[in-house]
Amino acid sequence: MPFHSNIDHLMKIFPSLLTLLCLSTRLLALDAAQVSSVTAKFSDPSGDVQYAARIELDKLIDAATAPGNSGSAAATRTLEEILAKPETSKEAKKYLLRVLSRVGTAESVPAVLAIFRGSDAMLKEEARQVLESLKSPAAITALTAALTAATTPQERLALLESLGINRATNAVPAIAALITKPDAKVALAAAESLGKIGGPEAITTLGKLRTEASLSAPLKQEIDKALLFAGKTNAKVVKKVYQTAGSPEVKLAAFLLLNPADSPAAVIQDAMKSEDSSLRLAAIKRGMAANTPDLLQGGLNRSTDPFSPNERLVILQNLPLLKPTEAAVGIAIDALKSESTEERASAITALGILGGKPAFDAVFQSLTINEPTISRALASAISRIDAPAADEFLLAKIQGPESPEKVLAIKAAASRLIPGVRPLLVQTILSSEKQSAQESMKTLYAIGGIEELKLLCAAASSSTDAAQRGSLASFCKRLATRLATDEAKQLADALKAD
Amino acid sequence: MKLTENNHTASRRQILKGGLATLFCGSAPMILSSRVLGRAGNTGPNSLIRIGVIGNGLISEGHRGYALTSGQTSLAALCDVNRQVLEKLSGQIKANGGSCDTYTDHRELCARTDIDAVFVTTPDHWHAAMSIDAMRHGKDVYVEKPMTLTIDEGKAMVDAAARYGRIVQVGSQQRSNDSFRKASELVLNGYIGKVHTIVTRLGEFGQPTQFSEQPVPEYLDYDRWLGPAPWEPYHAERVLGDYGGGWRKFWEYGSRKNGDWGAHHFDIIQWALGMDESGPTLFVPKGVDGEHQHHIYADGTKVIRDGDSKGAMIRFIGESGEVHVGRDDAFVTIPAELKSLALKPSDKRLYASTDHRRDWLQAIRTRSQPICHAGIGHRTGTICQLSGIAERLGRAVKWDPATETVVDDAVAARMTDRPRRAPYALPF
Repeated sequence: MPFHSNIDHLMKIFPSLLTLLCLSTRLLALDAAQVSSVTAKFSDPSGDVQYAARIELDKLIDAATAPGNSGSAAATRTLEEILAKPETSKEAKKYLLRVLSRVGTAESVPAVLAIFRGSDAMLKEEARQVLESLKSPAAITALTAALTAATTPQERLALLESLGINRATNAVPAIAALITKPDAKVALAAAESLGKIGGPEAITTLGKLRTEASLSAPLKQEIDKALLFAGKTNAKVVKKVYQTAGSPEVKLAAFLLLNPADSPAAVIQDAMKSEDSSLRLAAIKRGMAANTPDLLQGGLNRSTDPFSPNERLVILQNLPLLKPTEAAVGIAIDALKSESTEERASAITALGILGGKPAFDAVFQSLTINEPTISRALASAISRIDAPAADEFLLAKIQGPESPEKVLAIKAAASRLIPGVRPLLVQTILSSEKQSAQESMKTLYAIGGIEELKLLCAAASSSTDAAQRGSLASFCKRLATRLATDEAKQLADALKAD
Repeated sequence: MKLTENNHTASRRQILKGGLATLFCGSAPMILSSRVLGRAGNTGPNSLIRIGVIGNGLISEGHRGYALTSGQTSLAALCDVNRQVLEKLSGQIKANGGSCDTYTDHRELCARTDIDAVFVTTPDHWHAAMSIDAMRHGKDVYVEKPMTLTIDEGKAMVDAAARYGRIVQVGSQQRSNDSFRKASELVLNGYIGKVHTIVTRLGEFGQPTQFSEQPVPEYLDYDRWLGPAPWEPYHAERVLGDYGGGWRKFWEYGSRKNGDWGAHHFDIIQWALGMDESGPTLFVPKGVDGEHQHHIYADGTKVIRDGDSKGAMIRFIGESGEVHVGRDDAFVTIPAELKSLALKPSDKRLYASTDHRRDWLQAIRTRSQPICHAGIGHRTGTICQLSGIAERLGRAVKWDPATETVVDDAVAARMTDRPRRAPYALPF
């Protein structure tokens, strides 16, 4: 093609080239005036206009920072310049910072840190979030350099948090240096940051720091926590922290992070001996949730199981956590044969929580026991136990002829709210059933009200049996004293006058 | 802040936490209401799975009712940032003879050792933080869909469930529906041939606005409502639970319709395509390469949002037939006889559940994975979130489901997570 033809051709396509060039220019650079014009709309009183401004700004920025657009850095510089202008409104700055949290780069760090030299807390928090969002290696390097150069605690705290969240392994030495500095707040944040960074270097650094004698106890505890955080997926670190942690809080956290392989029955049993009840509970929960066969194989039998008396008690206390419930009920019923009063009481309490017919039957039969510790557990258990037709069973026994079971049922009524039971107890008191009448008095004394008192006072007045009259009068007086109302007192006084 | 506590709960907590001292410190017989103790025909609460409900807005009603009436659970505690809601609900429970504790800070509920499991039914931006906090305190979790607000939070959820050995059920409950399962099994087993296109209906929310500031009601902990989300002035519309809008309209608290309905329908599509451990490779917003938002799997299968779904919620189009499926057992096949076709013994069967919550309880008791566990919820959530990222950026976003990374787009890659407002960092 001759030269002049080339020129002709170029002339023909020039308008198109010009358009393309303009388009490229638009893509490469973010128009500062256009952005300023959009950000001005953030002060508009209309919410719709403000929201539209956000969308408009997003579109401008997203186009300018799209993949392959070499104008990305220039675009963020434009944002940073507008951010720094005093005339930019607070609302606009807030949203510019949010945009920077999507598109900001290492070069954005100085402009963002400048916000911390202002006084607006909300903008500082927005700025901190920008720092948190900077994740590229170049940005991490810039954040690390900024940490070393930072002059205020607020800047340091924001940078430490960002470096931690972004797992800035290269920043470990710079962060570690702050742990031994006098600013306690920064030192704690530095420890926490190292914990979040994790990895071998942070773990080694924290491991050394935790043996540093000059550090305060709270800081050492934070270092322990950080070490645990850093090594949470490293079984060796977790195990080490678990074995050597100074604070119960860290030891418990380490226990919860132990792999099942690192927490066999021996470790669980060891944790169950801890003086820290939370750790003990965690150990039992772990063993029981996993239904660890080694832990409860064969149930609890003083002569065959591997547990100390204290461990056995803690297990019984926590039996309701064991699944399936039937297995837990079986173990509790076995434990009722124990010679230990405390174990039997724990088993009864557990049965009360576990519920079901076998549990109810066992608790009911245990009502024959009159040891105070067990009586208290029985009262608690009988009050709450859930079993099919339990109330009906008790009512039937109370209505039945004199028998040991009737006495037990009346005793149960003292602890359990059974609809319709109180008139039956009054009837029993007035009957010739001596043991049941005595037990009914005890029960009514615990649960009786003014209506029962009236009935019993009337019965005492009309009784021709002197012994019964005396007994009823004495009981009415005690009940009136317990009720402690004027009406009750008048009823009892009237009886006395008789 | 804890608002109320019933005696019964305190008693059991003391037993669990207090050791011997509290076990033997009783002095008088305890007389408690039989209703409090869960009698009157129900199984006693102490033998049940004890539930806490965190977030008691619109979607929580069914879960709360289930916790009260399932026969397998007892409702131990409610948590909400709105004290008015708590007072109303606890009043209703009390009026029905029950009792439960109330909290405005989920961390207090999570710290209770006597609660076995929680429903997390807050707006999306709180799902991950609350669920992880519950898991680290030993609780199993039913979390509403989408499981998280960001892809990185999804990874953190999967990690936490594995680390703490917890059962997580994500509330994409269409998996526990026979029609959706049968439709998915037909697609999965090739009964409509190679599926090339799927059309699903999500609908649209209106555009949000920048509300003018209203005074924060005294009964609302607004700062905690916002939690990790960016600070914005209070407005009743912003915090409103409304299936047609409210907080659902805002990118700050969710992924709009992508997460609202997408978490249901994209989930079923993943299931039917056998992609529960993978996902699409390209996300294209509306107006870029066609009038409909869509995403594409590596084999070319295209999922179109809001195209012609023939009235179905999901329309699977294969080389030799179609399957249309929706709620209320809407289930149409082309050819029609496919609908009643019995699967062959050699066909793949999908996990069958007919009750999403019951499936979760069963998983809790057996310590097995439920039908929509955290891994599945994460992969479905990833689709919701990448669809949202592409929509917000106005450009296609490439995704590598094997490495779970955005390809060649630094800004989109940054958007797989969001910074969190202090002090609401994600717990580990």
